[in-house]
Amino acid sequence: MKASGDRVIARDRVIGVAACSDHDVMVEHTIELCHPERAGAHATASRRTPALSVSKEAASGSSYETLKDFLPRPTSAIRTLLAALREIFDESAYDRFLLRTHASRSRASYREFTRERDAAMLKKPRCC
Amino acid sequence: MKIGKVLIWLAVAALGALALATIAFHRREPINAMWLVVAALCSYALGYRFYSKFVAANVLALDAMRATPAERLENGRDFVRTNKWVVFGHHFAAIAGPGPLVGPVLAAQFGYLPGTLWILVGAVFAGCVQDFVILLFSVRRDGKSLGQMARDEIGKTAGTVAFISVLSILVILLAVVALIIVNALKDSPWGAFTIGMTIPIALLMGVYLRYLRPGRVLEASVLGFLLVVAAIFGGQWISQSTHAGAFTFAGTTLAILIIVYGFAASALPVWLLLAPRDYLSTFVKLGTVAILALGIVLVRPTLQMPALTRFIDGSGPVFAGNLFPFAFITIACGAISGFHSLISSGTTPKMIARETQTRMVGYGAMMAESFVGIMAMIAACTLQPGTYLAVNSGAGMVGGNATAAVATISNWGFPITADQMALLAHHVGEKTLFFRTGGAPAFALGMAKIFSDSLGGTAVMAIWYHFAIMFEALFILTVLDAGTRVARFMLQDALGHVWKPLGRTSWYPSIVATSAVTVAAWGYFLWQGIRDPLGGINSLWPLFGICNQLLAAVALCVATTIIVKMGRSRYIWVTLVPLCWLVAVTFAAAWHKVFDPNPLIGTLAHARQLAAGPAMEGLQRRIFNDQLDAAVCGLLVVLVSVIVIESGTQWISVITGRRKPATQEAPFVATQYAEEAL
Repeated sequence: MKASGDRVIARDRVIGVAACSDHDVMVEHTIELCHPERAGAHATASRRTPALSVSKEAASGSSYETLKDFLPRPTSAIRTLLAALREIFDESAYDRFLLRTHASRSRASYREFTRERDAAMLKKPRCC
Repeated sequence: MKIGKVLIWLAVAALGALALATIAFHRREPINAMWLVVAALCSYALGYRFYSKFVAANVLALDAMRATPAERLENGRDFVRTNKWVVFGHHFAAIAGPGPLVGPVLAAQFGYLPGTLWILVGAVFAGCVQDFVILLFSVRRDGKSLGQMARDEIGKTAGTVAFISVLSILVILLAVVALIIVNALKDSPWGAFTIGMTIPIALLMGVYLRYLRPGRVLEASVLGFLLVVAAIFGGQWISQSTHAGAFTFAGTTLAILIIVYGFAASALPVWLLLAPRDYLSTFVKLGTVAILALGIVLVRPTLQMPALTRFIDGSGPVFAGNLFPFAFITIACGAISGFHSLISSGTTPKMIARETQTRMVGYGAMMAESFVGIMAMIAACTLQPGTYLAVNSGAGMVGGNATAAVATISNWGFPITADQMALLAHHVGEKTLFFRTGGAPAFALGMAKIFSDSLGGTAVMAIWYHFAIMFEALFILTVLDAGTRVARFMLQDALGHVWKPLGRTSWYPSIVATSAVTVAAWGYFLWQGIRDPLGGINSLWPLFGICNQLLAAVALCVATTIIVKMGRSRYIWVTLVPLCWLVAVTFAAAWHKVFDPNPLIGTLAHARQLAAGPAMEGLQRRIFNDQLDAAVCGLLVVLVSVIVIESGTQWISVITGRRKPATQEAPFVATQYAEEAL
């Protein structure tokens, strides 16, 4: 019951006023049965997102995770690659630190940033 | 599914089946490496499209509407919503290390077939699944670590056992990777100079980032890379000059240098050495993996190694032991690696923007890692089998000198001459290539062969060889740096419960003491490996493989328990089947390592053989080392048995209805980004 119920939620969720049909009532009912703590949340999400539906693929994420998302757009791919490199090399983390602390790029701010990051590096293994 | 898509997927399946059939049944003539590439790509495509989707939809019920910890706890520091491709790159960079390069190279002694099949099947049905489910479960638990999840979901004992397992695997892992680097650099002034230079280069990068151009990491990494390339050419000059002697080290000297380095790296500020080396290593790693893939596709090398060799009977000179279970513990990272579960429950879950992305990041990044394993297998198998065995066998396995080694290897049906080996050593700028156990030199040779075939010929083979050695050594030193620090941190954390100041990561006496203990622990095993006449890898790599796979068993126990508690018992097989396989493999391997009557395999039999043999220097120490290996192996098996039994009890209680299923996942909160999620 619980397993199938959750799958219904994940695979066939329908959210939104326009799409609020018997099916939506069924989904809401399933949520209440399987995850009472989520009942309100579903309604909240519904209010925030009108008239949208999630396909079967949404549960597995395949609608969003394919290469075709960006391969036809080389500039987008390069931008994503650069963003990945900036994340891997902590440049983005430093930018976020500057934003968060309202500081500017300087030796002092970088020193502060590395002090904060060192604690994380201490726990960060590199795989064999 | 539309008919067009069905036809495309049928074509992919047919092509994959054809490639796999060619790999499996082609015997008489060498086959082209592209068959392995095609088989791998088709297997990954099918696995991702169908199996991971099945797991995502039916077992895990990924919910795009559920807010992830990166959204709920966003703090701009650890918890940050990040683009899925960026997280993918970040995760891949963290899980990819020397393991998928070394394991397949060692397992190539059985031929290319067993290792390749295990890499593909293991990755699609076990490794990728493990990484995926652990990542998702950590996301649903606010980014908790594997140890915390084991404690919460299975019990306190499981949490403690997970902690001990992780610490043990770190110690063994560090010893093994240090041994690999020692074996690659001993008597090699070129290699030693190049790798030695990476230390001042990393320090320079640290200073550059801190004082000259704060935060310009990519820029500093490019500069560091250029300096490393210059160091490779510098190493060539050194090796041909009168200074060569100053950089020619014996294995024991290198071991001491690496132990001292490990201690310094653990005690020095992170920004000065660890962080810049990590950046440099990642930069070289990503670039080289991409170039290697390109090289294989362009050159399309022929595999010289047969599909199966005579060594499947356990008489292999690279490491002793039968195909089952030893092939499956030798290749860990390319197929399934417990270590990945630490990364999947580390920084990555705190960056995931939506639950649905865990499939691409967890399952997908492991597929990419597995493909690195396939490339390593190709690199090793492009070598002539005689060359491969001469490089990878310990002196004690094939005779104490070059003449005896070529005679032994040729008698096995893999003809090789001392002149051929001397010419090859000359081509790569080394004095000798005999007895360079550990996998790294053989991989470097294969990589140099592939690269030199596509670019520059034998004239630049030496450069490519040392580039590959440098690349692997950089990987390994990074693992050594980071691993020593993580182990030190864990030790401090544990000791902090005994005496609070010991747990303070900013208190220098504690840092120095715990660093020393950590380095002494892996240094002991390293020393043991260096002094082992059979090459060290023969005893330590299987031990490492057992540790790593046992950690994977712990991760799969946690995953299975959560699946049962989620009320999805009918899908228990998704993690239970890989778990059973791993338990069978690791327990069998551990049994052989401890009790096998063959002294080349069983440590206790080896100790008995030593005790019965003639007196020699350090005899008691060697006997003790064998007994210690047996004790470590036995202890880990007992600890993991405790987790398996405790988990099994939970599953039975829940399935039979004696216990109410209740997982410890964070309460559902709807995402604020519903439009984006849809």
